[in-house]
Amino acid sequence: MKTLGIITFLSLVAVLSLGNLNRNELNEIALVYALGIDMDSDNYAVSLQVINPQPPVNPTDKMPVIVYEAKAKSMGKAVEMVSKKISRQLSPAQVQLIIIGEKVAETKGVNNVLNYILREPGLSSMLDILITKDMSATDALKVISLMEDIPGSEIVKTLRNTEDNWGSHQRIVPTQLKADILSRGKEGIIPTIVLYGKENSAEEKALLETTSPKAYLELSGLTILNEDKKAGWLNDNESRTYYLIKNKLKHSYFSAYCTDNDDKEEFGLTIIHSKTSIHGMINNGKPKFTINVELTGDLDELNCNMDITKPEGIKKVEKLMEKEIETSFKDLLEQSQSMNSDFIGFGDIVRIEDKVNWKKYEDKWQSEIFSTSKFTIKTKVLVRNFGDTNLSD
Amino acid sequence: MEIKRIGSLELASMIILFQLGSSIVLGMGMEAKKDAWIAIGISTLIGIAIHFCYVALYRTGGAGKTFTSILQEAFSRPLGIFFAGLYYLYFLYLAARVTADFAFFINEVLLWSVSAWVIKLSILLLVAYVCFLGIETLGRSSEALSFMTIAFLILVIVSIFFLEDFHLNNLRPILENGYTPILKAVFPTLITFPFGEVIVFLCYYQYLKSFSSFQKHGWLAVLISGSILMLIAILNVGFLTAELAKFFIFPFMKTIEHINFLNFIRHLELLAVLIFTIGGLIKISIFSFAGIQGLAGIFKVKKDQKMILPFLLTVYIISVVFMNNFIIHLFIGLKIVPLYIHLFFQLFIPIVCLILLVLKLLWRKRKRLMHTT
Repeated sequence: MKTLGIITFLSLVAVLSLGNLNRNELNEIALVYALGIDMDSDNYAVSLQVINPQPPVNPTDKMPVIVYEAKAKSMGKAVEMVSKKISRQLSPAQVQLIIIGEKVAETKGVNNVLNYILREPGLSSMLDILITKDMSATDALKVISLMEDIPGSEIVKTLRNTEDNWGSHQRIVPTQLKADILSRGKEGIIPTIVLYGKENSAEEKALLETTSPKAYLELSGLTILNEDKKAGWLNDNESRTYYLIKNKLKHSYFSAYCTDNDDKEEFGLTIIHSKTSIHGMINNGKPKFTINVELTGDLDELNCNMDITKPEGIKKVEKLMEKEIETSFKDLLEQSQSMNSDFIGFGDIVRIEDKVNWKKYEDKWQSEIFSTSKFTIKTKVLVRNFGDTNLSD
Repeated sequence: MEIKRIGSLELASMIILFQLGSSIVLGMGMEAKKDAWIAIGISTLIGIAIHFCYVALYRTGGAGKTFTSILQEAFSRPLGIFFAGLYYLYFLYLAARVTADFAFFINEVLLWSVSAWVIKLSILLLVAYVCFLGIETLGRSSEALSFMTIAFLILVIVSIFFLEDFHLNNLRPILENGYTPILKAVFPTLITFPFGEVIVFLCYYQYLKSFSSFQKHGWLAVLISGSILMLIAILNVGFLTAELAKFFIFPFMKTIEHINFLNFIRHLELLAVLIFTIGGLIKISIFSFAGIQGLAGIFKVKKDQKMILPFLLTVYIISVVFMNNFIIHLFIGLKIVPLYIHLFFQLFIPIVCLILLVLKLLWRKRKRLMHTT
């Protein structure tokens, strides 16, 4: 009984007094939603988009986020230096978006940034990485959101929306990006974001006072890396083709011209299902690849003068689409070869299917061998439905 | 005093939790890069063979006897006690190593600003309580905890197979660099950690209700834990690719962080910490209980529980004073300890012991034959 009494007393003392040793109250934490990393003449300029909490019942006029910046020679130092400006303790656990400035990718390379992201134990692993084009990451974080509460959340949701519906951009997580950069058989690729309109007007609340805002962020293409530095940029259509070749397209929309010689009218298919497989090998130092694509789509828009009630009409539509896809593949492959950068990952195919030759040519793959490859493209398009009507005039 | 007994299933679950304990979160066999799973598969087979060797050692040493008496039977009485003492100190050192592993892991993943000595103190207090309550508690709690662990592991493994970025192609081409990296990974690292550490169970076979039924099915436990480790290696390489996985200190934690099953099951790395805690607790308890029992037998202490405090205090002091730098700890643990310490205690002495015991058995048979004729 006596020991029980002592234990009860000690527990009571512990519960009542030791709880104050280490607390994390919610109004003493600053939740960082997005991180932006720029380069400023040898220093890293880190900007943090911190959520500005508002009372739920009476929303005041405060802006939903505040962007803090700091400059230092290393990123971790810059983040800690922000504590001189901010009244709360930074909590990196909620970061969902990291925007890398263009200058970082052009000068020092993305490796330092990625290593910091992977090493920092507080950062979550499931965050999105974007890179900017023609602007700095700080400006991207300062743009006011149009539909969502938090600007970072708007960017993240736009990325997911594009991934599901248009397919020209997909999310990339830090581990996959680092694995792509480390792999000898392919190059890393990061979705790009640009600003339309003027930067200074994008930060102000006056932007929201019209129905058609004059400045907004938009996803635009993919930035291709060479090892870890920026090597090129793919535009919107090429990005979509890229994901089609990689067999990662979910839903999309492809359109093609109606006839071979008449370049005026188009028809469009909503792609529901796509499957691509690539096989290849190296013969006497010359790589050869076969690409098989199968697409299934619903006819969405037909501005052509053809009769699709007959089987020949549908076959004609399918053939035109196949040709269009083959052309876009060829464009993408030409661009990849002229840039001397195998971002699609043909090197990995060779490594799996032809490992003896891969060992011989591994070091020179990106710089010399890849540009001499020959491709055979086989496409097959299946039009499943054609909407509610079969008007065709 | 009645000797407490444990059933075969309890001992098997102890073996499974013991072997999975600290090996799940560390990257095993990553020197073999993509073929890590082959290395682990080979080590599992070797581990089953090692398990049978220890079972044979126990049988020839006279079933129902403690580890000390087996050693005394093989070597002479004083030499046997000397080797037994060495073994119990070896278990003490291993208990300190697992405590340090566990504390580093918790520091890295969960509680960054908590000092290591606090974490080590908390887990050792728990281990002390388990050892105080005896072998039955250890057996029953391992059984219950092993069900929980295996259920969680199945959930994780199934979810990772459905991840978007998991490609089995990352494991190809198989045997890209030939057999040499695999053999380098298997010997000496993989067969000694975790498969060779089963030698500690020589102290536990005396508590079994029926040794013969365990003999027939005990190797299944080694097979199950080896297959789980192999699956985890496949998952790590398939998701993170071999070039990236070897950079992570805890690759399995990184893989688990990416699980997003149906957008509903997320952030499972917090549960993974729980699993490692369970594994760490059981492993330290198994080493400690064996050491305490053994040392109590050597020093002829009547109540085993009197030995708990000195033993665990020593474990704590070694763990806090000597093991506070993770990089040096890993280097010693994966490069120096397997080669010089594990091989000596896990393979060399048991084989010598086995040979001596078999010779004695044959000699006794010959003597009996000569007597009857």
